[in-house]
Amino acid sequence: MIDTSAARNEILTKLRGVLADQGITPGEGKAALKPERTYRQSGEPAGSPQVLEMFKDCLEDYDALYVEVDLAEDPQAIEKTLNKMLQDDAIQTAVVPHGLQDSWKEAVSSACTMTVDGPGQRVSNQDLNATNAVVTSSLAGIALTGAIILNNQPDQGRKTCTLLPDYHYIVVNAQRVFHTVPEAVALMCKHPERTYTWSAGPSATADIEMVRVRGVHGPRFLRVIVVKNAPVQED
Amino acid sequence: MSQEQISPMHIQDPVEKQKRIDEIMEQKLKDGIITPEVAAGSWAPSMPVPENPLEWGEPFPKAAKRMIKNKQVRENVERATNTIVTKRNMRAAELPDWQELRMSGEAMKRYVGDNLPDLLVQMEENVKKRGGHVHWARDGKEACKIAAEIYKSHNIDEIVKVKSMVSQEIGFNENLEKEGIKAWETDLAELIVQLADDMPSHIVVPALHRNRTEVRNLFSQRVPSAPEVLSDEPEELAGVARRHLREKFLNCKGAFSGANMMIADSGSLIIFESEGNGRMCTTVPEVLVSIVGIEKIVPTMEDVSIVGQLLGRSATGERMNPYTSVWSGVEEDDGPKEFHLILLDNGRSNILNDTIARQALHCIRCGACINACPVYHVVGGHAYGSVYPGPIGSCITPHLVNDFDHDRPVNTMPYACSLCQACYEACPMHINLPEILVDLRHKITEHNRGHHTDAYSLGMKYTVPIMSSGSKLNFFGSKAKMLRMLAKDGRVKKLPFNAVSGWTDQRDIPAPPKKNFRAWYKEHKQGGQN
Repeated sequence: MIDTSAARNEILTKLRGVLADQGITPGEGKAALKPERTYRQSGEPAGSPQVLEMFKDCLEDYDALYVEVDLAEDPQAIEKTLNKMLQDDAIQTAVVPHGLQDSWKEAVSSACTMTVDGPGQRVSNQDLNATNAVVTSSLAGIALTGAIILNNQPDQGRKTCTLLPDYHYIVVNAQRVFHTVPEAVALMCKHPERTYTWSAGPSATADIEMVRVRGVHGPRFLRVIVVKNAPVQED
Repeated sequence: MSQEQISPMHIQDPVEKQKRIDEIMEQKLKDGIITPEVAAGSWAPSMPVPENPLEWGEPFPKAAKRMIKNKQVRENVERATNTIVTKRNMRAAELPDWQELRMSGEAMKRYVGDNLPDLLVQMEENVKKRGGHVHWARDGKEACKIAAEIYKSHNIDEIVKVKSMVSQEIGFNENLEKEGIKAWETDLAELIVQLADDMPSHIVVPALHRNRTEVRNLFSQRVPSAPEVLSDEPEELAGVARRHLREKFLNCKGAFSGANMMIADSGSLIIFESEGNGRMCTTVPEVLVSIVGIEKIVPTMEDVSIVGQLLGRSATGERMNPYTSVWSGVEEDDGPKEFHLILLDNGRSNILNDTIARQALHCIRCGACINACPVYHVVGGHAYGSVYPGPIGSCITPHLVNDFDHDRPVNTMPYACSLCQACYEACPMHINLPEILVDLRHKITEHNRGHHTDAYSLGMKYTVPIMSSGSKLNFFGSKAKMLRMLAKDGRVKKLPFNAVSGWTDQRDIPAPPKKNFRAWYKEHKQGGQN
């Protein structure tokens, strides 16, 4: 059993000592004053046309495919779009998290061979590596940066599932597409102990001569379906 | 280039492809983009792995002189840094609250410094609450030992590694190798550096000093799964890395990472990356060890808004890096089964002790200062002799080493600076790097005062009696006109004596006037006071 309590004591004592030399006591007086946040905390309304336009631009800048659907126009829009996209991409096999909406699961299984990943039925890493696609919901989107936030709740699934397959289909609720980063982070602050993955475009690197190239590790193809007039799930 | 030129990447037939590749190489050689040795299938000599990652042995002036002669590196560094600075400026200008983010970042990190012991204890509590283990290390050696012990207890002899500056700082790979554990770099640039038995030259883009042809040659020779016929297109090279590493990711039981931030009130760690190797390493293997410097902490999840907006734009000139991972402890069935956090001091508590230098602990390792530095543009990273090069490197390395003796090469770093302030402008955390560097010069001078003698200190010493007496100053001032004999076109370009000629190697002295000021004043004063 590794015991680093001696080092721990030494480091903490040293830190308290150097601060005391500067007249600072952690948690007291000046040190207790919370730092000011002067940056912008919000922007245009979430899911508004300007915000969605911004989101689209950022995603397309990253070569992600962006599709907007409206449930007020067609309540089956998500299912139809998913089905079509999977076929257009010639997807043979897809994995979905167990908490994905049933109708979406049907849309997937009618386009390709679908496997559900869930408690008691975990897909192995080797099998995930051989699977073409993964389909998930999401927590939120950030229009300013084109980022999509996933947690690992039942409708979004385990991290490995969104990491190994080459195609990732993400459904994003338009009302959860925020203009600014702080608005999306506020959602994370509700459950700070959870696991999160932010995806802002497919895997890329500019390590060779600063030339940005795609697809080192992680899905190379991102397909984003933004859904208007969908109910927002409170977490 | 003519419009008919096809990229060799898209040519199917290997013979045709090789022909096209050879054509391109010939042209590049003619245009001076690659050197003959690179055209012949090799790469510019690597910097051998040193004993001390923070001090490679050469004083900066000597190393800089040598690096300036390396045409390939100069070409590569100039091109890369210009690209990245242009993008960074564009992305920073996009945000209406860029300055507010910088100030908020500075305020937040100042709070972190003032409350550091409490925040670390809080972090430890929360990591343990979520099923993780926490260890403390006073220095790099201790940290490496703890990591090795953890891996060995699981019979792990091969690990996959996410790029981590802290691991560079403590010679992690080399130390683990001594314990019989092989650490595979998975970041493309670090992989390139590792395969070439080289040292990194930048904290964000470690292989900045390599061009695509060198990388192609390297992969051809040292990656077993690389194809026979390989072009130097970055996309194709990235593909080679992808295939080579996928196998490692799926089979390695152990992994190593650093972290961009620890979040104290939830016990979370966050990694910002582009390639996905960070996600791979922190998700697939069973045992994950993370070594994080004690300063890399923020109080609360809300602070992700600050660093998350500043880092990507500053580091790579993009609005957001592709992948960001946040995890806390361990979870059933998702991510590693066992997680160990090693909190590392290694001199950071010394830096906190210094009222001017402690702002260096606010650094988020974006590299913007390095990219902005005109000196770096010319000499590249290897000239600094530390895994932390450029402005930030020159600030923290001497403090981490903490020995201001004149003979130590590390103490030439604060002088590798023209004080142009470009780094201060570029720093997203508003760190006053020039202030730290000037203060270091003061510290080094003070430390060596009285027991180090060179022409400069002697010259300064003998100037004191002259400068502290009006009559002596007047006497020598009236003699200064003798220098006019050495002047050409109104400038003294070379002083004759070895002891002082070095001064004029880089400077011209304007020829002194025929009359010194006191004499002139005396003359004109008598003529009336207008």
